[in-house]
Amino acid sequence: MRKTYKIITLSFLIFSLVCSAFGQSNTEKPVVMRAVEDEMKRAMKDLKFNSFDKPYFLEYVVEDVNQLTIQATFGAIKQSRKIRNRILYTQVRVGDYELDNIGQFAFRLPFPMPVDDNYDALRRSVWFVTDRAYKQAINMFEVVKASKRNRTQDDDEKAPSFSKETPIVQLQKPETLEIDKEKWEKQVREWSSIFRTFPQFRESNFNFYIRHVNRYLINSEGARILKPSLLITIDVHAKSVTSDNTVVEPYLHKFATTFDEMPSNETITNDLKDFAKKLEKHKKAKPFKDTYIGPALFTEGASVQLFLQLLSPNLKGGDFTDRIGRKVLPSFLSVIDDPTLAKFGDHKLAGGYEIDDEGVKAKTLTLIENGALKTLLMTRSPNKYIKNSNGRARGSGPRGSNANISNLIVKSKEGKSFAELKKQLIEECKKQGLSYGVIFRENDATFGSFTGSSPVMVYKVYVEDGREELYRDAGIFDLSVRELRNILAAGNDPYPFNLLIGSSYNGSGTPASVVAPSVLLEEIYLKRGRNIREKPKLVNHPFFNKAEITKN
Amino acid sequence: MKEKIISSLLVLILNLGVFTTLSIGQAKQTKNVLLQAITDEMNRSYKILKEKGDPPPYFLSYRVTDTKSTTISAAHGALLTNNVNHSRILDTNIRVGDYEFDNTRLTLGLGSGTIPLPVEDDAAAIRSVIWLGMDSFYNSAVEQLRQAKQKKATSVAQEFEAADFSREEPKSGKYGLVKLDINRNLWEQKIKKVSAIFQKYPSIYTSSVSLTADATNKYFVSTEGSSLQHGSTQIRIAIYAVTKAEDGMDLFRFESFEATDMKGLPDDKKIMAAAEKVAKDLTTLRKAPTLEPYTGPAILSGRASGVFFHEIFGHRIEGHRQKSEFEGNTFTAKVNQKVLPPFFSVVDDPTIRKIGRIDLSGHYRYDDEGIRAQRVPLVQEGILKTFLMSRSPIEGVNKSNGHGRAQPGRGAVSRQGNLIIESKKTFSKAELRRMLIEEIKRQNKPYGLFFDDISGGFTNTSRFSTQAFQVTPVMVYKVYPDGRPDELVRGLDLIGTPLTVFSKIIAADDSPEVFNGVCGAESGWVPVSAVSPGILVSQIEVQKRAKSNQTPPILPPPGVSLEKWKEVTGK
Repeated sequence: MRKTYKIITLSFLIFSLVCSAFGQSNTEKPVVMRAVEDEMKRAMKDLKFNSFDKPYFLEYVVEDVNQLTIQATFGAIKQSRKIRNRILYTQVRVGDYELDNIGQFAFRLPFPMPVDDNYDALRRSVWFVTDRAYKQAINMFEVVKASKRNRTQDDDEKAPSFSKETPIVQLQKPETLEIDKEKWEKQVREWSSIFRTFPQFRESNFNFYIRHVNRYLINSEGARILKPSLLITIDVHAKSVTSDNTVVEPYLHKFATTFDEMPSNETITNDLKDFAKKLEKHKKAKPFKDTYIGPALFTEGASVQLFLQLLSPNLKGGDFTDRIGRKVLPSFLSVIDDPTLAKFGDHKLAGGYEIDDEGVKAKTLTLIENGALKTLLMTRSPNKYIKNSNGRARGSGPRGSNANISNLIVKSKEGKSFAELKKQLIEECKKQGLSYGVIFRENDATFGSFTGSSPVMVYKVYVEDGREELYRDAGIFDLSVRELRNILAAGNDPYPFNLLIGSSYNGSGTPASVVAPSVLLEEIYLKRGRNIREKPKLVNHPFFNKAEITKN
Repeated sequence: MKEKIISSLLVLILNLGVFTTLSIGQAKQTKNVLLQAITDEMNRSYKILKEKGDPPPYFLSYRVTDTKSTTISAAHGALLTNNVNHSRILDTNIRVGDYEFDNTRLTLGLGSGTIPLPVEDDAAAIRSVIWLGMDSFYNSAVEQLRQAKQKKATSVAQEFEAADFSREEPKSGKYGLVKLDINRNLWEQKIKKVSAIFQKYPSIYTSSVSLTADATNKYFVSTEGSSLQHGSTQIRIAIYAVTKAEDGMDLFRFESFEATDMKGLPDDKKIMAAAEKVAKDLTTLRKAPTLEPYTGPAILSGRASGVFFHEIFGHRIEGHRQKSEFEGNTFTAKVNQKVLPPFFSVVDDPTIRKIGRIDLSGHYRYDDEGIRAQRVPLVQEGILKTFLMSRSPIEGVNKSNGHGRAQPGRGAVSRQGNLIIESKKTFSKAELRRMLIEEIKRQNKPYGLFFDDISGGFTNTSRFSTQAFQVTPVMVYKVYPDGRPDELVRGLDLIGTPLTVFSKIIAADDSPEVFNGVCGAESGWVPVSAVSPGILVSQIEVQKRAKSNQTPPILPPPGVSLEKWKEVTGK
């Protein structure tokens, strides 16, 4: 039975390859693809220095970028520029799949290619960079081999250098995008000027990006992928200082991958108007000054952050590499990563894709089943247990594609309602003799990382009557992925959240989603976090007069 | 401090236009929003800080550099970039203490802080952004003053004691703003066409041709009452190509054309010819022999001498260096003494727009401290007269002479503008060459050197390292005394120390040349020119240039046959 299945898959793949080869005659192929392909073929055949090996694998990624960046403050544009460039990232491997020149941290030299569809000039850039990358590769391979000879080997080094994968051909048509700079400038100016009505914010920065990329992946194994993508990002920060000199910086991050999906102008305007409410909420909260060791309930955005910050980095390897088959979560929790899923209920998920950024087909993965770790998110860099990619290479750039999540979904078997979880929290507190327990629910304004240094908002829940009180500037200390094994209960309230991974807030990033239910942790360590304080300025704001500021 | 001058070219420019005209009525007609906004915000915060600050500031100035920059570049006939960028940089200078002793004591006058401003004329937004930054600049000024006072109390007396800030008359001047209208499509085609020339030369591995056109408007206001508005435009076409000799040495060649308006640029034919020359020079240079370290007589062309004087002399007469005990102070105590042969005079004159048909890059109307540019005779008949001055006084010179310069984002120190070397006694080029051959024979040397073109140079003026300079030549020839033709050589740098090499200058020729370039030092990169006749030096020294040991490309460039490639590489 199994055998038949395999054969079917294989013939299907061959068929699809043949199809694409017939369907795309050379003249129809985009010039970039042709130029890279031709030079790659020549290099595979003839690129050899003295007695050194020829490359056994070449990979080229071309990012053909068309980007608009608009930065504004207080209703005026600080910078507005349209950028059009083509960046070539080259990877040369010498040796073989078992052992080659690429170590853990491969660096792909970014090289600017002409933006014209000029075959000769494009091919020339490929020639120039390949030569350089090949020379680096043979040097590095000698270093790798020498260090292998001269050192004793750890188990970890027994992993092969590179996995063999079936090449995929999938060419979408390259898209061109006309961006109306003036139109967006006008819109951004309008959005940003909302802060002119908020004397309580001394500073506001509105960043808007439209980034369109035609991404080409071409490798010597036969992969040919061309995929256009769009990313529209809005990134707003505002800064206020409360009467006790505490800095509060609400923010808004939004992104969309089509113009249709973009929130309406009205929604964004309303979100911006909410900044004042966020600040009010923060101001009303009392500073958290206790030392708390006890149970904590994470819900909605806070639960998503918990899994995103603690679980997802470990799913890429690290500490989890040696824990496959072992328990990493309570048995009522399972985790899947599903790039084929478009929606979760009514919520549109952002992390879907068919082929990953190394050209490998992505499968649905059960990462954790009934609390036990089953597998990891893999790229074409094998580890000692898992030899093949499961299509989780995400992102490009000089550091290449790294293992990351697509749509990460945390599922609970015996999900409870939030009310039940809250009741259980109170019960736990009573057991431990605590007068209150804590709930985390914030997911945007002022919700930072679980490192203790960034202050988070927390609700105290009093054991006596279940009433909640909001506190600010709490810091969660010493929280690690091991604490997730001590989750006491989970909710029946999966909360979906879209985010950009690998984003440095410059308009680039890889869309992903996390869906997580509320969870009750047995124990966390909470004390006063490090809040940022700023002295009042000697000179008052030039636009808002003093009376207005105090009024607000 | 290490100072550098790089790149650029002797060019013939047909430039007729003086760009900006003093428009008397203009300032009255439309008040400039930006100028008004920075003035209002400066006055407002100065007034409040005067009342509330402890210690209060005694001076505040705002300098805004508004730059619209177009860059078009291409390689091998294909476009790399065609972008426009608009930026507005505010540089502030806040001073606490007094003119005699203030917070800039330890930084020798460098400014307080930089804020990128909105590029739109929205007074409220501009002023909010300035307001946001000023508080921390004032606080650090107060802290700097405290540190300076403490340092003074716990240190021995300075070798060269002087005040921190000169008293100057406030200046007002509103000149018309500049802008550049560039047909970007047309220029894209032109630049692409020029860049395609290099396709004919397989041994040139990388090349690019670019046009950069900057329209810069500067604004300066101070609490002393200065209010200035002036603009300038600068256009440059640059041709750059790189090859690698078979021994791994990277060789590059750079040609550029500078002008102050689009009409001043040369015609296509001339640009194409320059690109061809770059390609041909490199092809020859690739096969030229390298030179062993050598000392002996040499001629430096006018452009080479210009850079030579810029490095060994120009940087050492920058005023603020005279009062620092970290600096070499080579010329500090030499005022009214002989420093050069008696037939040499040196001036720095930023007021000169052009020499012959060549626009000078070091021209400006006001410096970056709001002081009017002035002609400064530095050396008269071999005798040192004064220094290049910013508003940082030195012993004996307590006024600026309009040489406080900086790139946007940096505070100003004294810098060169147009450094002009003049010789009273001159010889024709042929005569100078004859004198070189005599000198070779007299010294019993196998050959002398002729430095034709150079790419730049650098020098070290600090005490913690050697007082040395280096000039990086591109085209150097061996000159034989027996009548053999000159021989092109590669792989060497001209080196020396200032006082020794000055005493070896024998004579100058009669045809001054211009080197336009940009010079980098602690206040950033500023455009400069050096104008000099060619000079004969009885003794120079050259050293081997650092080189890479990577081999040239293994495969021929696409489209080049193996036969042709063998011919090029000689393998």
